[in-house]
Amino acid sequence: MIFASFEFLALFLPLFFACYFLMPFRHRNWVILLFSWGFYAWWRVDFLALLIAVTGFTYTVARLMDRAGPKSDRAKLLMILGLVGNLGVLAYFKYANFGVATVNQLRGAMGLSLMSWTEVLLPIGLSFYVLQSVSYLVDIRRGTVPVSRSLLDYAAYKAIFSQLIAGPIVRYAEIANELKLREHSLRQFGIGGRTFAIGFAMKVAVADTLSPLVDAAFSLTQPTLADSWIAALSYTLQLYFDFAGYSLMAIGLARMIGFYFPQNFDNPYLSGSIQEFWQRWHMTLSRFLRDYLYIPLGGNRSGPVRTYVNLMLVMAIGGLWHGSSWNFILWGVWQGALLGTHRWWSRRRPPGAPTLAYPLANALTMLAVMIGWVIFRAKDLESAGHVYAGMLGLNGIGLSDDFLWQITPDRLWFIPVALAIVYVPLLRDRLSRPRPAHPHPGTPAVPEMSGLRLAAWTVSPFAAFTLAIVMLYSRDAVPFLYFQF
Amino acid sequence: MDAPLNRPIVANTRSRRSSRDISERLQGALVVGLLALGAWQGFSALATPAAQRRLAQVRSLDALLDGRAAAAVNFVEAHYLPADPILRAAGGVFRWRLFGSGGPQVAVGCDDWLYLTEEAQTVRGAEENLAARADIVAQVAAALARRGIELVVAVVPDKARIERATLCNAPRTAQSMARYGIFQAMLRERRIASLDLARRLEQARQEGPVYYRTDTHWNQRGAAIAAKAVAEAVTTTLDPGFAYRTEAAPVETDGPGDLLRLMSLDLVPETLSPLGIKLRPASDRQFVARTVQTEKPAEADDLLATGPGDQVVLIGSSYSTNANFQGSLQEALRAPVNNVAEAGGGFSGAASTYFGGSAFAESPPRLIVWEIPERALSKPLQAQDRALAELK
Repeated sequence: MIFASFEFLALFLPLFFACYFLMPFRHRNWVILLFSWGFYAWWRVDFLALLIAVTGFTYTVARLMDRAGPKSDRAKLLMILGLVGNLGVLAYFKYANFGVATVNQLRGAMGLSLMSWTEVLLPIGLSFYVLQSVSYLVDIRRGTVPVSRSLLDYAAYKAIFSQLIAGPIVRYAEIANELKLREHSLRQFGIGGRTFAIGFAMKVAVADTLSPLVDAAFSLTQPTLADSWIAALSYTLQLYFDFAGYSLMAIGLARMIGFYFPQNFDNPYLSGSIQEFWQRWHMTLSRFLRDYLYIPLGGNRSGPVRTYVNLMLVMAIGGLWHGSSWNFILWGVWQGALLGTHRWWSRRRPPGAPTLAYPLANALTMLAVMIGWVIFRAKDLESAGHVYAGMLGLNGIGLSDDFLWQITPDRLWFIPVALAIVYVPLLRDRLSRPRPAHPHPGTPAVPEMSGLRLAAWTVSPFAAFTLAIVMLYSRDAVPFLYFQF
Repeated sequence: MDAPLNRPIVANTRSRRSSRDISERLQGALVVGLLALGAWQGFSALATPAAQRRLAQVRSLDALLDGRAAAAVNFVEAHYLPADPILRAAGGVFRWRLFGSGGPQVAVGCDDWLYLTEEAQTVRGAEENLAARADIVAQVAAALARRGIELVVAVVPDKARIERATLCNAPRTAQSMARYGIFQAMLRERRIASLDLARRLEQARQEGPVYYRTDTHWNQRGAAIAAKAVAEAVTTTLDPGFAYRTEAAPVETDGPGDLLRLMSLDLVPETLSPLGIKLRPASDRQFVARTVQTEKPAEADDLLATGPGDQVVLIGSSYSTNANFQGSLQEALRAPVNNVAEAGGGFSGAASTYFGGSAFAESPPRLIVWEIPERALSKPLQAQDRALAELK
């Protein structure tokens, strides 16, 4: 079941909220758990068994760690057991196919017989809920989070349907208190609903409209300069509106039942550097990589060379987390190289030396990001090579016939529409302050309103939502891009 | 510029919070309303007879476990909401009014002319596919000739080829522009009698449209011209004594408009009264033509005589089932035509059914007219296409 579907909007959600709010508070986590498991089983019932197994295993290990004393050696061993178990499941389901394919390529090249192998299906959301387990076990060892003594609470935390499939990656510590006690009110419900509506419109009206354009462009074998740049730009926009829209929907749904989920996107395409970009893009993943990988590896405390190696390693692993292919590894390496270059350049620049003008810095950052998205989106290295060749103009300049017939005016128009939405916050902030922190799209930081403006602020998210519903109904649903990771 | 600092900041903040609070509560109420509306739609969809029939097939534990039950519910929710017609229509109007777009299947030209996007589609290996289909046609023609049956191949040119003056920004690709000529040349190389309908229709176009504006197909005038061209290409002498006359209905009505349906605009009124806002391209108007038999030989009613449909068989696509093409062909040939065309049959749908059926084996005709839409020629070959080549 996906959020942008009528079985979710017209059956699941009304039924869930009715049961949830009719139930006394002490039973509401049961409602969350059972509905979330139902939501998950809608794809594949057998995958639910894996989720339950991972939940039970991690909960048991955490309880044993707590009993042994989180700082004890036994707890350390138990944590390692818990991490190996969780990451082992991830490795098997996500990387075994890739590993066997790579080994077979090598064996084939050496003239050896190929290993026989049955393709393993990746359970949806596994990458996300395994990271939750990792953060939970490590945090218990670090003593930064109390162990959950209620299996129901812990299982409900793992399963909350709004974040189960594609994040944000919520840490147990962030909602531990809310699992026990949370506020419900019409106002909270409204804020959550508004956030959900904005996310829904971003996903359905913008990202899904661009989707056919992206699919068409990335399937060309000889894209021209125009084809390739439209491909790169439209995918850059599609990915952001899809994933940020999904994150807002998840955050909004959680808020409707009293949970405060962490922000996942903060206008990343307004960044003036690649470092800033990673502070604003998929923030819960960046935070995870920093706290559970970069810092344990030594971060920037072990000398410059080690810092660059750590950056590269962390981003390559981050790339590999997205999927088991060379595309994702190279994308991660590209990000690591960009972060390393940025760090080197920042250190080399004398204090007080002028920085790049913001428009130029933003343009350069976005160029680097777009180049990265091409390999991220392409189905294999060969396809990525086609688009890169096109971007250099090696296959001609103007739109190719193969692409032209698939461009419809609405798809094309949504490129400037999406760009305008991306850059509107910048314009708004520039008009009010020199360069403030950018407000989250779901909670605008311009509160002073009255009359018509207030009315527009109240109604506009739902007008956009209604428009998105109309658009959704007149075409097939497009799955969320991050479901594949 | 000190003035703003003199404002009572605390009071202002309170008032601000208050207005936001009210707004957020209103939004909460709005969400409750939307959820109620959604629930009404969702559960009403499940209760429709069509949904019940579909769901009855998946009421088992197996269907639940293997995902068929979920797929059935997804289908029901995507197709049977009570608001379905309104939502589809609103989507179509939004796309057309705001962006001048006809959606993924329809390209919008100027002056309300609509075209099927598929006509401009490029296909990898198009020339190989054209050659393979020309070979299949040649093999079918040879097999029919061995049985003494004449085959006339009528390739129906794309609407965008003939009605190109109103294409404006609608796409036309080099591959689709070359397709018709290449295929005709391939048929000539294989010595197949194929008439050049494009030339005839282009000539006729100078005096008025030969295709519907809001439909993929030729209009009644175009169909009649094509039928005449087919009749002129026939060399077989057919039984005399039949005659037909085409009559026009006394009242003008809307044309078919399949492209409006593909744009989800078929149920939308042309204008929003009383504002006069145009909501969709105007429908074609026509006096529906009907062909009636005026003469037949006396022996046609004999019990043991060959049936009236046995002399000529028309195999083809929706072009043969639209715009009175069959009637016009009967009038032009002065012979009854057994129309076995299949809408959506493309290149080989009707041919496969007919050649594989008992009617062909038991009472073969003297003439077969094979109408083929141009856009079907360059697509990848299917097993059904290849199977035609095995006709003996």
